[in-house]
Parts: sequence; structure tokens; C-alpha cells
Amino acid sequence: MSQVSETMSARASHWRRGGVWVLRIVVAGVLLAAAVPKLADPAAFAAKLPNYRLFPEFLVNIVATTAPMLELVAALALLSGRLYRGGVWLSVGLMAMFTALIGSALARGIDLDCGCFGNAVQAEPVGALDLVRNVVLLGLTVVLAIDLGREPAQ
Amino acid sequence: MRRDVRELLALLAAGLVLGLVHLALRPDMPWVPEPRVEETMCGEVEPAPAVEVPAASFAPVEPMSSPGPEDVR
Repeated sequence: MSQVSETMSARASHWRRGGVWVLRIVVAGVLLAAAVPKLADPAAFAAKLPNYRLFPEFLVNIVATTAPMLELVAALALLSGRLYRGGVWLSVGLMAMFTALIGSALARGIDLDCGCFGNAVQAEPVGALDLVRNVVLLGLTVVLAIDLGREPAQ
Repeated sequence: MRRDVRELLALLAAGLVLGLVHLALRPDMPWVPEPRVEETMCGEVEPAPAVEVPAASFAPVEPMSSPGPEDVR
């Protein structure tokens, strides 16, 4: 009887690890896809930031280079497993921040291109779909954070 | 928990330092950007006014040379 439960438990753990790996790859892929175009052309991203009407002028260029670098660092941590726990929390923070920024722009009725993926995608005004996408991504990172409490997935 | 915070701080520091180095290596991006030029609705740069408006003066205004019709009664 205990052998059966052990087998089932091992199988569940196996599936959980598989699911966590899929989440890691999805979240890291999105972060990489967002970071690389912005790092390649930070000036273009910097030109979009003032449209949020949130950043003081002296911070625009600093945010334009550090934010994609944080995305890159988080993605590498998720993929490599090195500083994984920090990578998960950084992903949660980044996604929460991006979701708040988009939500704030929508709430204020600002018609802007979010610049989320730099110039890799065609510029379109931010909409509810972008907010839903970010909420889903935030949810995925939160699932990874909850999984941290179980056992370290390597 | 303490390990999580330590790792998060390490990644934050790495990202910030790398981001600032990236900014320093971009001569086209100054640390503090110049004030933005206001644009019109069509995306064109607003031209500067051609004639400068004279500064306000407290000198007495000269009377009109000829009286208006309401003054000739």
C-alpha cells in the first residue's frame, strides 16, 4: 500500500517538476523576447518612456537601459538555475511593475505604445489585451514563487 | 527566506550595474536627456515664433492720434 502511494507521489512530483520547467521556459522566453530588442536599441525604448508620464526626465535613459538588463538577468537566472530563487522573485517584481504601468496608463486614458518588446513588434496603442497578457504572465511567475516553498527545482 | 532576499538583491545589483555600464557605453544617450521638444498633433515640431513679443513696459501709453467716433459728440 505504501509502495503504491510512494509511486503516485513520485509520479506527481515528476509532473510538477515538468510543469515548473515549462513555466520557467515560458516566463524566461517572454523576458528574453522583451529584453533583447530593447537592449539592441535603448534609444527607441527611451523615446517611448516619457509617454507614461510617470518618470522624471533625468531617469528616462537610466530606466531604458536598466529595466531590460534586469529582464535579461531574471531570464538567465530562470533558465540556468543559478540564483534561481532570486530570479523568480525578480520576475514577479518585474511583471507586477509592468502590469501596474500598463494598468495605470489605461486608467488615465493615455494612448501610448507600451514599448514592451522594443521595436520587435509593430507599435500599437496599449489596450486591455496587453493588460490581460501581463496579468497572465504575473500569474505564471506567482505560481513559480509558490513552488519555491515546496522544494528547489533544479 | 533570507536566501531568497540575498539572491534577489544580487540579481538587482547585477542588473543595475550592467544597465548603467550599458548606458555609459552609449554616447548617443546622455545620462540626463535634454528637455523634449513639444510636438504638434501631426507629429511635427512646433516652430519657434518668428517675431519676438516686446517685453511688458510700465511706460504710459500714448493716446490715439485721432479721436474715435464715440468721442466726437
